[in-house]
Parts: sequence; C-alpha cells; structure tokens
Amino acid sequence: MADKNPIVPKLEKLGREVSEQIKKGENPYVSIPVRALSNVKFNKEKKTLSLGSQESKRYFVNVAHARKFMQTMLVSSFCKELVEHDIHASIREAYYSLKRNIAGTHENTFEEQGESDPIIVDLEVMLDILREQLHLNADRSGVAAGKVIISDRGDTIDWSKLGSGGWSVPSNVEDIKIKKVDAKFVLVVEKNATFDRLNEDRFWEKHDCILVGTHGQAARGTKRLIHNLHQKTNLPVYVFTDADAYGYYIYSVIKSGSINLAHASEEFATPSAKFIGLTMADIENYGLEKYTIRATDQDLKRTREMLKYPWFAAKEWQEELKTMVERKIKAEQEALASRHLKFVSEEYLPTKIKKKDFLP
Amino acid sequence: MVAEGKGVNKEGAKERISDSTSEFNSEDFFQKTYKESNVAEFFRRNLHMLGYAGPLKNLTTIVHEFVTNGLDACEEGNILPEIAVELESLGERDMVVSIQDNGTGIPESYIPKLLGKMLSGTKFHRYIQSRGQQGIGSVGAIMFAHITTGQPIKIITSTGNGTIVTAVMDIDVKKNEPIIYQMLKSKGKWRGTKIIAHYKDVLYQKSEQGVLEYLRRTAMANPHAKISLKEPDGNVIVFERSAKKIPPKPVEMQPHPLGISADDLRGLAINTEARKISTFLSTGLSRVSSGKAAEVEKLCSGLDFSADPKGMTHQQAERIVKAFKEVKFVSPSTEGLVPIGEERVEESLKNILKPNFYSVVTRAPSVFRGGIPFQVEVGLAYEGEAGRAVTIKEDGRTKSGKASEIMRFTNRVPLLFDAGGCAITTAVKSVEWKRYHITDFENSPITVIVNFISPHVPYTSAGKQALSEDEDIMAELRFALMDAGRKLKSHLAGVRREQMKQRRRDLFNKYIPEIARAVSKLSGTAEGTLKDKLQKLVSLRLKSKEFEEEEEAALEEDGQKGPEGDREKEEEEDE
Repeated sequence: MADKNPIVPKLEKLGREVSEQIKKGENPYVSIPVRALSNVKFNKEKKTLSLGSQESKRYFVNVAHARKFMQTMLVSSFCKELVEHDIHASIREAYYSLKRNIAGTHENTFEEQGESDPIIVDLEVMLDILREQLHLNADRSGVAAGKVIISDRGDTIDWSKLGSGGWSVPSNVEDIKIKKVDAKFVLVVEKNATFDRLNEDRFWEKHDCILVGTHGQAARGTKRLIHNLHQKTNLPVYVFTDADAYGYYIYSVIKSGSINLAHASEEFATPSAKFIGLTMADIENYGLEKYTIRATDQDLKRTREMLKYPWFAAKEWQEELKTMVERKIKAEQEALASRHLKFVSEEYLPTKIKKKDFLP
Repeated sequence: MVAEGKGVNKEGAKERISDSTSEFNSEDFFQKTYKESNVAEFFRRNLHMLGYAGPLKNLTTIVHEFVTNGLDACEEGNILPEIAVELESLGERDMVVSIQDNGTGIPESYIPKLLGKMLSGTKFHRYIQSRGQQGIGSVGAIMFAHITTGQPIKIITSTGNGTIVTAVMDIDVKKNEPIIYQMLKSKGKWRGTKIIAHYKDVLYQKSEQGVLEYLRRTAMANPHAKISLKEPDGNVIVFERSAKKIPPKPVEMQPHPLGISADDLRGLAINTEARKISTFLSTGLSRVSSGKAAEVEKLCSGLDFSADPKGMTHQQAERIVKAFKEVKFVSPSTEGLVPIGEERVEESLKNILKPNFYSVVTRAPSVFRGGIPFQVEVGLAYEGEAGRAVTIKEDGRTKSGKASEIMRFTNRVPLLFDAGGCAITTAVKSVEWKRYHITDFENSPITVIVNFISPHVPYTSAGKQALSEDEDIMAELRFALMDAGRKLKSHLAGVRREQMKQRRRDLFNKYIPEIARAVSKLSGTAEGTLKDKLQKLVSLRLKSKEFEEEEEAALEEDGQKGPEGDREKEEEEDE
C-alpha cells in the first residue's frame, strides 16, 4: 500500500507548476478542492461521501491568501523531504519543524498547530493522496481484540493473546499485514468501558468476532483498520455507540466517510457497516426508560442538522432522529448495565445480532 | 463727550473697574474715571487692564496696538496691508520699536488728535466688528513710552499726496493733550504711517506669548496682509500674503435691544439726534419698531418716553434695558459680519503651517444673548509645521516632539493670554477628538484655529484676552470644531488607507524568502531566480488597478469568512 514513488513526483509537479507561474511573471496559485458541506456529495450507490468539483484558488499576491500560500509551500517541501528520506513525523512534529520566525518581522511561519493541520489536509486533497503517504501521522487511539493474527514491522501479533488491554491501533496501519482471521463479524464499539466489558467477558471468543474500540470518534488509523479488515475478509461490520447524535455520527463516519475526509472515503469508509445500537427502540425493548438522559439543546440542534444530511436519508434513520428530537432523550451504552453487568455481552448484543435488528 | 461722567466720584469709578467679571466698556469706564487729574497716574494704576503686565506682555501689547491700527488703516483705504515691525535692542529690557504700515496715512492736521489724545479714535460710538480697543490702544502705547523712558515718539506719515510729515510728539499727561515738539514736511512719493518709539521694561522672547507668535497668528488670520519682523538680533522674518483680495469691510450695525447694556444705551442716547426717548429707541436700535417701543414704554410705567433722551439717567436706562428682556424682538441681522472665509483660512494654513492635512469650517452666523450676532470659524492643521514644538523626555533622554496648539482669535486679532479662562479653550478641550482619528489630542501635531467674529465680543475681563463661556457661543464653537473634526477625519482615513497599503506590500514581500526556498526545494528552480521574479511580481501587481479591486474583494470576503468558503465546524475532527 505504501508506494512512495508516486508521492515525490506529485509534490515535484506541484512545485514545477508554481515555479513556472512565477517565472512567467504570473501570480502563483494552487487549486484546492473546497472542503465544505456545499461541496460534499453522497453517492447513494456506494453509500459514501465524496468531494464535488468545487475548487478554490489560493494565490500568493492576495491579502487574504498570502500567508496560507506561503504555508502551503512550506508544508509541501517539508513532506517531500520526509518521503525522500523515509522519515515519519506526527502532525505535531511537523508543526514544530516548520515553525520559525519570518525574517524582519515578529511573525512566525506558523503560530499554532491549528494553522498547520488544515494545510496538511489541503495538501492531501490537492494531490489526492493520504497524509500517511506523505509520511505524516495523526494521533492514534483505538484498540482491537479477537482471533486475528497480523504482522507489523516483522513482528507477528496474535490479537487473542493480549490480555485485558487488547492491541493498540497505530496511527498508520498501511504496513500492517492481516495474516489470519477466524471470525464471523466485526464489532466496533464507541467507548473504552464497553470494549473493556466485552473483552473481560471474552465476547470475541464466545461469538467469534473481532472487537474494535474507537474511543469516541474513530482515528484515521482505526477507520483504515476497519476498512482493511472488511476488504480482506468481507465480514459484516456492526457499530455499537451511545444513542445520541454524537454516537450516530461516529457510525456514519465509519460507514460513509466524513466531510473533512470526503476526498478519501474510498480508503476510509466501510459502506456495508450496520448500526447495531443503541437505538430509541432499544430503550423500550430492553427496559431502559428510567436510565435515559435529557438531550441538551446542543444535542437536538445537531440531530436536526443530521436530519438534513443525505447520508441519513434512509427511512429508518429519519424515524430514529425524529423520535430523538420528539422525546428529547438520549442513552448511554453503559445504561444496559442497569439490568446487570453482563447483560450487554450475554443478552443485548447476541439478541440484536440473532434478530438482525440493525439500522442501515 | 465726558460731560456725563463728571458727577461720578473716584470711588464709584474704582468699584466699577474692579468689577472685572462684568463687561468692560471703555466709553463708560473713561467717562467715569477720566478727569483733568493725572492721566499718567490713572494709566499706571490700570496698566494690567490695558495689557501691560510684565516685560514680555508689554512688548506684545505695544506691537498689537500699532499693528492693529495699521491693519485697520489699510482696511479703511481698501489697501492690501504691508506691515513691518522692527525691534532694536538698546540694552537690557530697553528697546526701540518701529512699526510701519502702508495704510491711508494720517492727514497732518489729524496727527495730534489721533495719536495724542485718549479716546479720540474713529471707532468710537460705532457698533461694528473691529479689531481695535476703541480709542485707547495706540495712545496707551504712546503713554507707555512716556512712562518708561520719558522719550517722545516719532511719527512719519503720508497720505500719498507727495508730502511726508515727520512729527516728534509726546502727550501732556496732565491735560491729556498732545505736545508737538517738531513737525517737518518733506517731498516724497510714499503712503503709510511709521511710528518709532523707545521703551523700557520690554522683553523680546520667542515664546507662545511673544511678538513673533503674535505676528505669526496675525498673519494667519489676515492672509491678505504681508507682515515682517526684524528681530533684535537683525534677523528678518517675513509672513507673505496668501490671499490677494482685500476682505470686504465690516458693516456698521445698530445694536439690538437684547444685546445692549444700560451703559451702552445711555452712550447712544447722548449722541442721538432724536428728541424723544420713544423715537430714539425706534431709530437708534435694530429691530425696534414704534410699536415695539410702545410695548417697552408700557413696561416702564412712570417713565416719560417723550422726554429728551440726552437726559436719560443710568437708572432709567437700566429700567428700559430690563423691559427689553420682556418684549419679543426679531433676531438681529447678521449681515455685517465678515468672516475670514474658508478658502482664505485654507490658504493661510497652507502658507504658514504647511500641514499634511487640514480642514476648515466657517459656520453660518448665529446670535447670542438673543441680540448679538456672531460667527465662528475653525481651522484644523495636522502634521507639517502644525502643533507646538516641545521637548519630550523619554528613557531619560530629551527629544523634540509636537504637542497640540490652540490659536484663538476675536475679529482676527490673536489672543495670546488667559488661555485657561477662555471659552475657546474650554470648547476645544470638550471635543472628543478620538472620534476624529486624533487619539491623543494633547500630544498630537495639530493646530486648532478658532476665530470668533462679532461687533460685540464678550470678553471675560478688561484685558480682552479671553472669551466668556456663553451657552450659545459654546454650542457654536463646539459645532464648528466638530464639523472641522469630521472633515479632518476623512482626510486622515485616507492616510490610514495608504499606510494599510504599505503594510500589505510588506505582507507579501516578507513571505518571499520562505516561498522561494520552499518552491526551490520542490521544483529545483534556483532560489535567487524565484526571489527576483516574486519581488518584481509584487511591485508590479500592487500598481495594477485590477489588484486594488481584487484586494477590496478579498478584504471583504476575509471579513465575512475564510477564503476557502464556509467550512463547517464538524464535531468529527479526527486529528
């Protein structure tokens, strides 16, 4: 996957284009696809998000663009060095490497990481490559367990023999080889606590599955891992989150991709993923009425926004979101522990899977 | 002329004089105080009221009196004034002052009367916008020479008839009569008047209250005049005229009943040709019809309005003036006022202060106390030679800097003293200059010029150096200052724009080294080539009109949203 060769020529091509513009006396610019809701398309067939054709031009001689143009050139040339010398850097390291005083001013090339991060995404989108290919790593978070054997930089790792902690998913999974899988499905859970519960109960062993914890919104490495597992094994992927707008959105990003990463849905999304719970219906079906939480205005606002997203247009989701807005409640995964601690692993999940009680 | 004053004793006069808060009326003042007794003694006792208070002020007052006379003489004759002041030092606080004008000149027979006798000027009993101090000014200056050196003065004058008269004269202070020591006539084609006088207790200093500053300000308010000064060290400073047109003459007007005091009324009554008080009122005052005079009469029961106005007592005059306040009169005419005019003030500012920015406002005439017309003019000069030069202490070092400066004028005459008690100063300080892009007024290179025009200037005291804080006057002063402030602001906004442009230029140039290095690494093109090309590009693009528009658009866009469009705040940030 990590084919470095096409990356350097892409960066060089960008440099040549800008250099040619400068030599001709033109105002140099780069074209960047617009990363905004207005330029995101939902492909109903593929069930993934993709970027539209809107592009914005970033010029050097333009009061509003000059600084970002300079930063774009700096990030590009930095990435070229990384790839050429085969070094990897975190996006925070990249920020520190690029930050310096601009001669004759009190200004720095970058003042905070919040400036360099978006430029990195710009570059990904511009060149249609992933930051991993630019040798830049995002922060990691995510954990996996199950009857899976992989190889990582020459080490062979058996996910079933990693005790209570599980396998920590690195930020870059491009070089990880999946050697052997003995499972019937992949279960992705939002919360660490739920992952720990299911791991302690050896749910993955009893039900022949691969367990992946995302710890909130899935990091790039984790999304890529889920995508790769599905690609490799074609196992069904079930996602288990809280019953709230935030949880539902975590599911949609794993399934269809995100607005910010719409250009890379092909690499990150798992369109066949299904939502296992918690749903509004589960609250009645599993007697959790007394264990719901009042939805905040923020939650309701977000839910109403999501009602308009084309990737939540399915009838079931519209009903689900509307119910949430009407009842003004939400529920956590852990609410299932109100019945008893092992209720989630012994009754709730097995019942849902058996009945195929999923949302699309 | 002094017949009515004879009954008043000295005590009464003193009382009146010491009442400095009430308006000073020279006519009344002299009528009551001036007797055959010792004029010099009177003069000495009241020096401070006439502007003689300390050696610095003495010299400024002397110059002021003669220059004012000179300017008036030119105005009378419709002549473009050319005033030359020469100061020759004879020792410490010992100086010969000579002042020459190119005015109408004084006919031979008038010389003793005009210059040798107090209260004999042509401006007496006239209600008119005028510079002078109504008949005491130049005589006072001559008297001051007599007191300090005992020397006679020399007058050279000609009406341009081919004869030049040179007179050496003094004042018999006991009799208030001129003494002519010598009167020579010679042939010569020249017109004007030159006065040469010897003084002690005078000091030349380049300060805010000194002669140079007085003349500089006089030049500013009289842009049609050429004024020169030869300093005691021989250095000559010339203020060239910036306007070639002589301003129209102020028109004499009748006083309005609401703008008159009992003393004024009695002064007028003495000189009227009317036989009855009722006719006197309807012919001698503005806006008083015979109907209105009858209304006044009704309010003064027991007072015989068919009596001879010449016999009017002070008490009667007071009753009539009191009755005026209860009758409705049409506001006075403002036609007699002659402002310097916006164009002229502008020329004058440019000529003398050479400011980078300026604004000028001449307000429409207005009325105070219901009966006295007045008009306010304001000029603001910013940067250039505007503002007062000061030394600033910074980190233990002193360096020269600028502070704000207020130039006050009444009927074009600069006021150099009593700034703190003047309505003009109060008005200037009450304006919120921040609103007009002048953030620190006190320490800004700004000169504020205010000219107050009226046939009757309400001074706070006999010194005639400060305007009293009348409500109507304060309001007009403030309006004029704010109008001018607004105008200046739009100029300054233009500058700020220019400065912003410069900053934008720097904004591009400072990124060039970074961009050149990065693009060179990416493309292999030489860094130097890229730098060169980028620098040329920036200077070229900044000149193009297209850029201006592009930039405007970018700025607008930047103000509303980022250049990449409405990037949604998503909660799903994965970094």
